[in-house]
Amino acid sequence: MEPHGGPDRRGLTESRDRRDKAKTDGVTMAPRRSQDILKKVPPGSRPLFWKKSFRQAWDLLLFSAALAVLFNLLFPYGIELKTPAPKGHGLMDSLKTRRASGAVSYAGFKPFPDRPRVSATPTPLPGEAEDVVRLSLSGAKNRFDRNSSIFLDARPPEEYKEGHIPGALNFYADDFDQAAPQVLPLLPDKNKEIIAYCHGSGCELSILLARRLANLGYVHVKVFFGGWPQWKAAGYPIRSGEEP
Amino acid sequence: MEGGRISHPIGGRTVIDKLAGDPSLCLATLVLLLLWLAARIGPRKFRVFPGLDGEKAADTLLRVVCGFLLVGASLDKLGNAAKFSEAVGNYQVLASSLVPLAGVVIPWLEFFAGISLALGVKRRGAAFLFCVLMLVYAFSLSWALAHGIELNCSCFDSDSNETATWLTVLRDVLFLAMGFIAWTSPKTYAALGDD
Repeated sequence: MEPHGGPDRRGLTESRDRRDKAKTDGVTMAPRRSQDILKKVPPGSRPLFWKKSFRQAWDLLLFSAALAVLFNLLFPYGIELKTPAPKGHGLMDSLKTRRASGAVSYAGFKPFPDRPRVSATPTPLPGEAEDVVRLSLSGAKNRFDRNSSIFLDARPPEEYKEGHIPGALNFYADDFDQAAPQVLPLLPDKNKEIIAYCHGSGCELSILLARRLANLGYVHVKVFFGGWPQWKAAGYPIRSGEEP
Repeated sequence: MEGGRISHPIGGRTVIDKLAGDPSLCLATLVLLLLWLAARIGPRKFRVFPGLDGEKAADTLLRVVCGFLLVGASLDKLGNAAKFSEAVGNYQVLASSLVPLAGVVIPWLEFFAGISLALGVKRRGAAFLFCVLMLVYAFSLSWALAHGIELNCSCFDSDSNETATWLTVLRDVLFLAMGFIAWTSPKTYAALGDD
């Protein structure tokens, strides 16, 4: 006789019959979910694809994170996890309210803060420039077009007079202390984006300037590594003379 | 040091840089994906080993390659959290307070996920993490490039002089495709653990 509910219900009926028989025989049966029976999935089959992926990924994540933190604590060159890393125009940072006070810039970023066990860490060489945010030519041009940033020319005044990016202020990095009283009053907003450039990618003046400014509390200091040669070669606007 | 000139930190690529460069890796990944496709849709009579399930072997190959990629990418970063944190920070995507934690955890996550993938232990979870990592890397690189930020990828070597380009994003997307296959493949050979 066809069970009630059609052929799809047959599995359920059979299961119920077997369960009743097991009960009368005194045998304990593992419970089976009805959807497993309808899909003809054998008992004890593997969990769903997504569930399994998430569970395994979570296990791996927890294991790795725990070991990483432990290793970081024990390793002599471990870093301070609570230290605020350099703040920039990050996607997630931009979602938060920007706060000027106490902000740390990339150029001032110290991977090993005041912890005795990491005091022996070598400081980066000036040429490595891993601690400054670099801008490409297109990035610099976009900011120039939007007039959203202040350009600082870190080259000597003679070279600045020969040609510079329109609007750029001359701030010779090698004479920082001498140039600072004239230029720093023109940079009152420490949250404003500042772009330093010099002779090009082989020049460290812009990096030095960026680091000094970051130490003074300027938050968004970037370096246009291509610098003056790349800007000039691209045929972008230039200006000569002492005026910005 | 006239005019403060120094050696170019980006120029001067080494042989290793060139071999592990984006074009080479993109090409190698494309070849692997084409091999996988050939094993999947190719006629059975062209299959080299008669006793071997071509589809399963291709899935295994991709899984192992993904594993070695992750392990290879993590080795340089494991003991160099400070430098990697700087690299993560330079992307300017992550909240600044999370950067040190990411710099510490991500290399270990890459290492263990890579080992799991290569050995076939917790394969689905490791492949899922691989996909998530590649997605995050591709997105972060795209974000940085779109905002005109010039950075070293620091993907395989934190001392690499190679600047990230859109080709690097393409490379990550191709890796993502490989990881997706490793994630969704039903069974693979040489899996030590629960597949």
